[in-house]
Amino acid sequence: MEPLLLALVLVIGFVVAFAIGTNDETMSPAVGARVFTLKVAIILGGFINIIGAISLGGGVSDKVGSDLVGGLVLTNAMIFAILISMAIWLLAASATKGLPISTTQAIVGSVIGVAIFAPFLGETGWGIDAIQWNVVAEIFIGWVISPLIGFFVAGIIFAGIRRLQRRAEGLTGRERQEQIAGYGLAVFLIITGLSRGGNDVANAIAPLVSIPEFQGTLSLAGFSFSAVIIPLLVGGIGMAIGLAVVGRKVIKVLATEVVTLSPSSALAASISVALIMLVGTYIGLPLSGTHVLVAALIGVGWVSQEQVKKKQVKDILISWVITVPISAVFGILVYMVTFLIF
Amino acid sequence: MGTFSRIFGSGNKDLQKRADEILLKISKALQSASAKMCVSAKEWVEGEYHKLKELEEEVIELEREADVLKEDLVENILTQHAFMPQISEERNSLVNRLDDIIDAAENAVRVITLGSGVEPPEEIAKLAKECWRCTDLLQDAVKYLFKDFKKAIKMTRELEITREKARDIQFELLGKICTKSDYKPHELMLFHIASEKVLDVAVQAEEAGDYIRELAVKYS
Repeated sequence: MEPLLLALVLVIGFVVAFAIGTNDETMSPAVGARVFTLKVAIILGGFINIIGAISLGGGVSDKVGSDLVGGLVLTNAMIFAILISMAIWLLAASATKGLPISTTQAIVGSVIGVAIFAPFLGETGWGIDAIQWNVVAEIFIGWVISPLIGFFVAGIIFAGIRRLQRRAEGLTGRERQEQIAGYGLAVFLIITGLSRGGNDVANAIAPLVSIPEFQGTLSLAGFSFSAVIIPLLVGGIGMAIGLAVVGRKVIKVLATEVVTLSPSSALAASISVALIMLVGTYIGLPLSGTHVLVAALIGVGWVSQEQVKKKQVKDILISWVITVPISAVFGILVYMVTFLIF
Repeated sequence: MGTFSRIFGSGNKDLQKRADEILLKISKALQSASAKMCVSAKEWVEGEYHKLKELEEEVIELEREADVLKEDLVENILTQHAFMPQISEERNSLVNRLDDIIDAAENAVRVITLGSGVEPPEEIAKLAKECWRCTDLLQDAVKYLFKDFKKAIKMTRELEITREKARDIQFELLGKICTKSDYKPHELMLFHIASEKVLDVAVQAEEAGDYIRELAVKYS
C-alpha cells in the first residue's frame, strides 16, 4: 500500500478509536459510586484501553457488520464508511450531551445505509435485498430486551446483596462492606475494562489488520515484534485520548445524572452487566452492553429507592431510537466520499 | 496503603480510628454542655446567681474545644481520604449537627446568665432537664448508630417523645408567665427568650436524631 494511503488508514483508525473512546462508559459506575474521581477514572481508563488493545485486541478477525450482509464481502470503501459514520455519531452524541450510545447500533445503522445505497454507486448484488433482515430483527429484539434484562437482573442481584448487607448491625460494619465493595468494583472494572479495550479497538482497527504491511514482524533495537502492534497501539492510544478529551462527559452523565450510586449498588450493576453479556454471548443473543449498563444502573437505583432522573433517561432512550436511522444517513454520506478514495 | 487509599478513595485505618475518637469526644462535649445548661437553669431557679457566670465560662470553653475537634476532623481527617466520599459527607453532617447542639446549649446558658438577679418560674429548670434527657438519648443514639441500627432507631424515637414533653413544659411556662400579671415586661421577654433557647437544645437534638434515624434506615 502506498505510504500516503497507509498513513490515511492509520489516521482513520485513530479517529474511529478516538470516537469509541469518547463514548467509553466502562468506568462510570466507579465514578458514580465515588470509588474513583473522574480524573483517576480517565487516567486509569486510558491506560487500561491501551493495555487491553495491545494484549487482547490481536485476535481481530471478523469484519465489522459482515453478518448483516451474509454472503457478500464489504469493500474497503464500505468498511471505512461504516467506521467513519459510526465515529461521527459517537462523537456527536458524546460531545454534545454526553449520551452513551451503543457502538453496535451505530454500526448496524451504517451497514444498512451503505448496503442500501451501494447499487447507486454501481456495486452489484447490494441493495435492500442484500441485508439479512432476519439478522437485523434478531439484533433489534436484542436491543429491546437488553434493557429489560439489565434492569431485572441488576435489581435481583442488588436485592440479594442488600439482604446480605443487613447482617451488618451498625454503621461500622456497613462502612466496611461499602469499602470492600469499592475495592471489588475497582478490580472488577479494571478487568472488564481490559476486555472492553480489546474488543473496542478491534472494531476500530479491523480493516487495518489485513493490510500486508501490518502482517509481518518488525525489529527495533534488537527486539522483534508483530507488526500488528502498530494499529493496535494507534487504536489503544486513540481510545485513551478520546476518553480523556471528550469521554469525561459521558462518564459524568452516567455516573451522576441517571441515579445516585453506592459502591455496592455500582458493583451489583457492573456484575450484572458482565454476567448478562457473558450469557448473551454464550447463547448467541446480540445484546448491547451500553443498554444493559444504563438499565442496570436504573435497576439498582430502583431497589435502593433512589430517585431516577427521568429527563436524562428520556434523552438516552431517544438517542438509542434515533441512532440507527442517523447512522444509516451518515453511512450513505461518508460512503459517497470513501468510494472515491478506496 | 496511603496512595492506594487515595486512588480508590477509601480506607486509612489510623485516620478512621482518630475520626471515631473525635466523634466520641464531641459527643461527650455535647452531653457535658447540655448537663451544664441543666445545672445553670436549676441554679437560676434556686437563686444561686453567683454560680451562673462560672457555668457560662465552662460551656463557652466546651464549645470552643468542640469547634477545634470539628476542625481537626474536617481538615486533617475527612479531607485526607480517611473514608469513602459519601461516608465522609455523612460523618461531617453528623458532626455539624452535634456541634449545633453545643452552640444551642451555649446560647441558652448565656441567656440564663443574663437573668442573674431575676427570679424565673420553676418550669425553666424542668424544661432544661427534659432537654438534657434529649441529649442523653442522642448520645446513646450516636453510640448505637455504629453498633446496632435497631437500638439507634429506638433511641431516636424516645428522643422524639422527650422533645415533645419538653415542648409541653415550655407552653406550660409560657402560659404561666403570660397569665401572671406581676412580671415586668423585660422579665417576660427574658423568660420567653430563655425558654426558646433552652428548648432549642432539644429541637437541635431531635434534628440530629432524625438524621441518625435516616442513616440507620438507609443502611439497615
